Amino acid sequence: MLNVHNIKKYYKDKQVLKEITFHLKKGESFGLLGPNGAGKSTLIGILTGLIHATSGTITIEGIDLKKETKKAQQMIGIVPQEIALYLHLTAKENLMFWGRMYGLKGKELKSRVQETLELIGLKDRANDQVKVFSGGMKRRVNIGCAILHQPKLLIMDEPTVGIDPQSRNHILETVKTLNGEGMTIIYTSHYMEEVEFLCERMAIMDHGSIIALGDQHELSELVGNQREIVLTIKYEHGQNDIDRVRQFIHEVDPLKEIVVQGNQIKIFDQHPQQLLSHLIQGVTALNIQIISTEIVEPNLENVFLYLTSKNLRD
Amino acid sequence: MSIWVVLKDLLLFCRDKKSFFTLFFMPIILIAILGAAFGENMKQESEVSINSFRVGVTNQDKSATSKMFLSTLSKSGLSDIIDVKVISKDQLEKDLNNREIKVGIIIKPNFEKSLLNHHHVQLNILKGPNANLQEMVLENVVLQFFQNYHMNRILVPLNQGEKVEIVSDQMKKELVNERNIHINSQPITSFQYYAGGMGVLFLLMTVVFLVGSMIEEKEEEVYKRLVVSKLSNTSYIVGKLLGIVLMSMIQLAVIILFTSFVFKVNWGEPFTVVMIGCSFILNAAGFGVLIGSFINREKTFNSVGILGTQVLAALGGSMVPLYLFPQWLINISYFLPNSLALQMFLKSMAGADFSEIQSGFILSCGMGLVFFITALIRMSFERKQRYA
Repeated sequence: MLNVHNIKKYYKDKQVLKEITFHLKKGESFGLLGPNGAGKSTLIGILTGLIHATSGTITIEGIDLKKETKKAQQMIGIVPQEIALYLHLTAKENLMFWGRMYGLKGKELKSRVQETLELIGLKDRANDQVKVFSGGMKRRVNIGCAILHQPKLLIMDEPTVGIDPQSRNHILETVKTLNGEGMTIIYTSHYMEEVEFLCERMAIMDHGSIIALGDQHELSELVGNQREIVLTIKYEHGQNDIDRVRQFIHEVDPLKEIVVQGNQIKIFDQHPQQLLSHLIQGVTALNIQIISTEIVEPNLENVFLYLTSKNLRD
Repeated sequence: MSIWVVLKDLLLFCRDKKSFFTLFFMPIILIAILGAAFGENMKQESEVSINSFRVGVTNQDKSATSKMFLSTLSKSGLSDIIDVKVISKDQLEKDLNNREIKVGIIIKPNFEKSLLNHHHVQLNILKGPNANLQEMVLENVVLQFFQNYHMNRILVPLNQGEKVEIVSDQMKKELVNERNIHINSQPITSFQYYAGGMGVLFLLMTVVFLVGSMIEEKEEEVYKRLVVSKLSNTSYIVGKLLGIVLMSMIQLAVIILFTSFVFKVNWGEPFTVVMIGCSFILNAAGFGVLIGSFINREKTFNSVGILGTQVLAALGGSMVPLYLFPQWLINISYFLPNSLALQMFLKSMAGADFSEIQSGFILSCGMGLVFFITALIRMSFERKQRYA
């Protein structure tokens, strides 16, 4: 359905996307993960035809996005990260307007608007101006405007940022329903559980490249038999304590990758129990108080951490 | 699809109370306040009429042309106002000093020759104290005579032997049509000028405001969504331009109707007024869209817009009457959308019909179209640069 082949993007001399290649089957749900600055938004911009790729090709249902941009765009629905709505128009007026912008008219437009209002759960608020809506409701209308014309490919760029759990659940259920009806989905999020819930396959991006691609099981295997150790220390002397612990670990194993997040130190190791007891002894000897320790079994969150040395929400 | 862009903008505009108030009620309130404050003075001024006055003429040329000029002066449609007295140069100077005559003309010996050879015309106008208006009337008559004289000379080869008669008749006819001073023509009052100037200024502000909104939209996420929709670049710009034209037309109608009914301002023939309004709005909207196409940030545009509106308003005669400007500035201002419109409105207020403002109308529409097409090219180029 979607073929992305060898996409490169340069901004002047800086390469922001490096040979991105992946393929999506019809009806597939695909997660795109990566820390801030990984190149996700640029890739989404290119996939929607908003940004020129420096090289490479994208085809949607066999249509070349570069050669027949408008035709290809008709098959895409885009849910941007920001609210792309007219706040002084009602939910219904917004849907009507965007429906017209996608070529819907007459009875078809009216019935699609009603169906969409029902799907996003805002039928009873259809005639209220969007400006009075909560963040979650605005996001639902934002999605509604993207699916009105029944696109074959729905691209969602962090559609649940900053909303209440109820709206978030509603959005996730809506996306699941759409996917169940055969719509192909590309979903980016900072919430790993959302991607785990929605996506069959996912790609992890960092520094403009796809560093991992596969389903959950395949990605978990990338960590291998390594486990994540989380050591939480009491933050008495601030950065100094962290630096001393870091120095200690470096003395034990100079090649060990360490991720620091606040007063938490995260390390991957094949023999976590052994390393942990060694760590406890060493850190205690440094007169640094340990608040807690934890060994975490492989999951998407620590796969991401393992691959990028960054937390997803960093 | 352009129509849906227009309707959406119109709906958004109506729901934005601040903008609605600024664009529709502000002009009305300002004109009402100033009209109430100065209306009486302006009314009195409008009732001032030119009393008949005596013109002393010294004819040192004695040629057929100078006699023809004298005859024109006496027999023209202005004979009710001008009383011509042929006297010697000494007597003329004496009468001017004694204030027995207000203005005088000395036709110098080479008057005819200078006219025929297109040299500096040998004719002097002398003015007594407080005779500015009379001097202006006389200047108009003289200029009209010169123009017609040269025009009619072209007809001479076809009418050999009847030169003087033809020239005289033709000239008489032309003088009857003299706009500013003809008995049937309405003089433009200060309030009319003020209403025209303010109307044009507010329309200019409206265009700046609406183009500012267009740029604001370009900065928002909705614009990206529009770019990826089925809407083409041309449909988008046409929609925006139509929206600006429509809203400006509504504002102009409000200003004209309000000043007409409340302050009895005579804008002229309705058809002519509508045509002037359309041509100005097209011109100003095209100009605004062109400027807007080069600026991507609303804040920058607003700063440029405020400054630009003030400069255009000052140069265009909305602040200081155009006739007080030096000629070179008037020549420049003729190519400014607002100045062109104001001059056309003033002509219409003075009784001109559409045929008399036709050239200005064509120029204004033409400028608007050129601005608009340039903006379209510029925006297509920019869109290709910024978006795939």
